[in-house]
Amino acid sequence: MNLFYLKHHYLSIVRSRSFGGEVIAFIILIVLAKQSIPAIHSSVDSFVERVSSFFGSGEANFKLFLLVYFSSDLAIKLFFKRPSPKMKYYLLWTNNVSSISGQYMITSLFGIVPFFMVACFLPIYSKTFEWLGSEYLLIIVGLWVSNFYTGLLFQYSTRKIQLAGILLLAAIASIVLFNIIPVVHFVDLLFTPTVVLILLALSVAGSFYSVRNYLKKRIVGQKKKFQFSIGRSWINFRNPLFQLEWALIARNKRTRSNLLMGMLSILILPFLLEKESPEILMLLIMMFCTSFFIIQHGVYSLGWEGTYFDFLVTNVSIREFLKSRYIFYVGTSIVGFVLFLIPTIVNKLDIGMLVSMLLYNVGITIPLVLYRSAFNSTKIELSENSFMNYNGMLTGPIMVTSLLVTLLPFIFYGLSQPFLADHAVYGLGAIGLIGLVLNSFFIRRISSFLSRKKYHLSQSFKS
Amino acid sequence: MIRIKNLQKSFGGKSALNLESLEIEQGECVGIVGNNGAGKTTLFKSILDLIKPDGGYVSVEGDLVSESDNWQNCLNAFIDESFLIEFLRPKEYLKFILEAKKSSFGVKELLSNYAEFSNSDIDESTKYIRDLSTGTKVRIGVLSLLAGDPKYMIMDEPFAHIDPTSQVRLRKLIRKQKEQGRSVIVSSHNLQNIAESCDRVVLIEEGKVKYDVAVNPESMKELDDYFKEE
Repeated sequence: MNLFYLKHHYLSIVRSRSFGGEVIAFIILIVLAKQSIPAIHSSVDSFVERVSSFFGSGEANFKLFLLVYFSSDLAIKLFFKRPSPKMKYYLLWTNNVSSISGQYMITSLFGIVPFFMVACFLPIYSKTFEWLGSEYLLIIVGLWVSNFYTGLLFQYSTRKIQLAGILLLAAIASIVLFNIIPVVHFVDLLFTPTVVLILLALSVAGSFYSVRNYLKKRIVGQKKKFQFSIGRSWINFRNPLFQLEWALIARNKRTRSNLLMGMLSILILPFLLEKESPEILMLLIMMFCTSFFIIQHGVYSLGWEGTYFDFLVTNVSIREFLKSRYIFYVGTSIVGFVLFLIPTIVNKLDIGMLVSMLLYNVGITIPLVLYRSAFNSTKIELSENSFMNYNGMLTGPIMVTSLLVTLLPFIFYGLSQPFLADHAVYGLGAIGLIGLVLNSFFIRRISSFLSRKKYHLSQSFKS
Repeated sequence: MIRIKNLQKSFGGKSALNLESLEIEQGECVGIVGNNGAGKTTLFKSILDLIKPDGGYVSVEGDLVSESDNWQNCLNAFIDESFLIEFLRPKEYLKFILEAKKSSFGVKELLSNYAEFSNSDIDESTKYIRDLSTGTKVRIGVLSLLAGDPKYMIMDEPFAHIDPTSQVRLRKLIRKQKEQGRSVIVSSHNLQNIAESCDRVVLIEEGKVKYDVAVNPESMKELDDYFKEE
């Protein structure tokens, strides 16, 4: 078997300009993770406790939680389709479609490897699930991969197969929901290694068959149109730059997975907080959750636009561009605030603190992120997933997160000295309010800085 | 008027552009010719303020491009595919640029006014720009130049990737712009395309203006001979 597709995929990774930086970023992350093992240990246990408060403790309830989780995961994979494989060069050279299909399926799998790590992480670092044993790992990894390949199968199969699959899933869901087979029995049946292995084998074989058929059709020119099923992305904001931003997020893999990761952090991080949690931890989590999208997305404000940077700076005023980004991020910050209100109310946290962090983000975090975005001269590859993707990471999120993590406690402790801690929290909000009032000034300064940097950025994004 | 004075740019110590003087009046159609690496694209990028010159200046309608954004209101350019937004559909891209340039007309009007050049494929395409052929991308780029009623239009080798029929239609489109009082500055390796669409031709070699002549059979023959000798 000639593994040229895999080899080329490997070369495209190691020969990318950002590979060196990515390796360094990866090493830093490993070291940080190793250093924070005790914290992770207690955080995971705390997370498990909170999950148990919804689903109850014990094996059956945990399996029920897994069932809900994997059903949602499957639904997402069916709904958010992967882009069509870019293999036209290979298809011109060879008719060995089966080989390419197999290699494509293997390279696609690289993208979900990090999930395995997360999946293994939870039980290993949690004492609660010691009773699950090694069988658990086999089941959870099997289901994950099975979901992944079922997603591929659906994307590349014909409409008839897709319809049959949806009917089958609907039938299974009905059987469970109408209690024809009690949920507990169904879960017990599903979470056995044999059933999972059968599911896995079926999904792998099915997706291989679909991908191969799809590629064969491409060879004989019967092109099939594949589009993301999220539909038209133009919404009614009149500003064309808003529309462009929305299309950028919705239609590209990297930006879309960034959004999903941000949403995930909002679902997980609030569970780490209690009323008695240290104030600084609460402040940091509230800040990161109400800016859940800004840091991951905003630091690449120009990197996303790398492929059409020249067009943008010759047709749109830089100040207008930054202003639209500012307003957009304020919008996402408000969305984060609204989502965080639920755990704040449930856990009886301080709403005033949350409001302060919203103001702090709007006044300080967003201008800071926009300013840092001018330092990222790496064009971000939009078609790559963001999981375990270090493209632009060193100049991007790591730098900004470090800045924010250092800045916030620094200001907080500075304000705590002359005032009470409670007042210091509101002081942060007041600083944010001042930043909000000065936003035009900030944007003017950043645009003038960016005007000076644009020659360098234009060259860097080209190379 | 676009005025270029003592414009110099070098990369890694090697001079890429050393233009003493070049002036382009509104309503003129100017063809820029020259071999690969002669400095055509560097010249265009200097006009668009995408590279910082080592010396000299470019002004559009009296404003230095490096100091003011006013030129964006009267000059449109299509240099390469980096002027397209790949994840938009053709009509969405045109809508974006028309709105960004505050055009008085919409996409429908634009496509119907230039129906011959746009062809039905751009109007009907539901694909994203990244999935289109290079020729179609070039045609979308050229159509985007009409947004906002510009005085000057810059195209870098637009003839290179389009089919012969589209080349003929592009020549017609350029002539139509001249009739409407617009300036078109277009580069090409094909002298025939320049001869049939422009009224002035500038030959650039090693970053310098070698010839700057009106288009007529004699000057085109002279240029043809020059390239044969080269």
